[in-house]
Amino acid sequence: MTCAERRDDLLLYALDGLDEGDRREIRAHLQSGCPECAGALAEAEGVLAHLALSAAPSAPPASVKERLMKAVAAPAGTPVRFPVERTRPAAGWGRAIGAAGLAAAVTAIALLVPARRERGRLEGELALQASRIRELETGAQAASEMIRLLRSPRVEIVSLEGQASQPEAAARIFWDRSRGTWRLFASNLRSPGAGKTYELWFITADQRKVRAGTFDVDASGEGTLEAAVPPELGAIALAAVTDEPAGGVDQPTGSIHLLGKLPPPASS
Amino acid sequence: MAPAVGSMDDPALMAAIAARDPSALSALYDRHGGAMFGLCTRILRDRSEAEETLGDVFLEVWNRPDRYDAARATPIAYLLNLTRSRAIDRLRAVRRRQKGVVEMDAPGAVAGGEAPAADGASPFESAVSSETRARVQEALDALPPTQRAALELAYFSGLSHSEIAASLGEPLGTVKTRIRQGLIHLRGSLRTLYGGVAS
Repeated sequence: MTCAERRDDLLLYALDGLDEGDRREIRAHLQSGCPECAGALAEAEGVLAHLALSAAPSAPPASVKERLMKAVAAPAGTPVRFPVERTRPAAGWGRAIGAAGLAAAVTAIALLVPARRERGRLEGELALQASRIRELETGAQAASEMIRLLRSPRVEIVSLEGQASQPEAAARIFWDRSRGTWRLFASNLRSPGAGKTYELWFITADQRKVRAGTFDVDASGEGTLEAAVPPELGAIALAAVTDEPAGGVDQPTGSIHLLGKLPPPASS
Repeated sequence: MAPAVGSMDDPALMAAIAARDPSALSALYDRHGGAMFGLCTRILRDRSEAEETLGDVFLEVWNRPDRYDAARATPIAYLLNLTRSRAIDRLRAVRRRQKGVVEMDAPGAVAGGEAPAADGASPFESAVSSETRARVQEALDALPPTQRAALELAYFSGLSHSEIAASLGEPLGTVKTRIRQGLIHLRGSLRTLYGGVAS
């Protein structure tokens, strides 16, 4: 595996999402002192730190800081530990209560643990339902937009055909001239491969190639992209999809997998 | 005369902590404790557990300042990644206890969990620019919903990929691909922010 290929795996490594074998291989490589991969790991950790920011900040109670500062003020040489709050009965109670209390505690655990387990199950179910609702809402919006595209007389449909590398692939672009947008729906495309993505290109009549955007495909080979057509672009002759390094590039470098010819603007 | 800790930037605070200055730890807590506590509550879904985790993380920063490598990450990136790691560890410990291995001395074993408080705007929020948060939210919103759901579960739930696949009812390979693609997308979208979290 090359360091370039390892860059994506380092994202999963930082997330603690690799299988043990892969994790061991990457750890050994990092320990060998590879500067490129050390940089890629720092980059991956930066991505994850940003993901943390999607959690809403929340002010902790003042008691947490009070306990923290009390702990660090301990004399030098004293083991510093975060003190458990005294008012919280769950903390440290095993030693504090006698045999009778212990029996009562065991009963309480027997009653409460299943309740917590049920609560955890319900929370998981709730998160799943919320995720499905988001998916359905997104699907409904996409369906509504599709109906609008199909109804609009101002929308033209452009077919892109699979090229020699993937003759079974196909795509359609819904070109909304009034809004200046392309909406691409691709199907039967293979995964572009590790560290790669698909990129859509506007190709003008004078052979300029202008990037429209990147997209990936799901497990069934389908991918979508919405792109704004730059108004200053002039006449567009062709649309093409190439495979490119993840994140896309400014000029095409990879193979053409889909290609389609665009109709000339309707004369008014 | 040394500058007041309130006017120090994050790297200077980390250096002062390494030099055993408690006021630097206090300033770092005031600056980033809100983002870290929000992350703890999102992962643990239990305010008491989140409080203990936040305290433990800051104590680790105090006890082991040598673990922070300025060449590798900004202080806030280090703090957030450490917070996630410790919160996931605690979450998994809680789950193990719920599966029957009840530790009598462990906090939270039977304590009723509270929902995260819906705190209003706090002074903590200003530590990370609202623009940065908006960029992150935009990047997440741009992900396909299936990728986002898998990625959020992987990041916040502490579940293994196999457990995520089971909970979503999807094949393991599909879930792995979605998580990987989601991360790659985020890396591309957030490229200009690397190293600049709460700079």
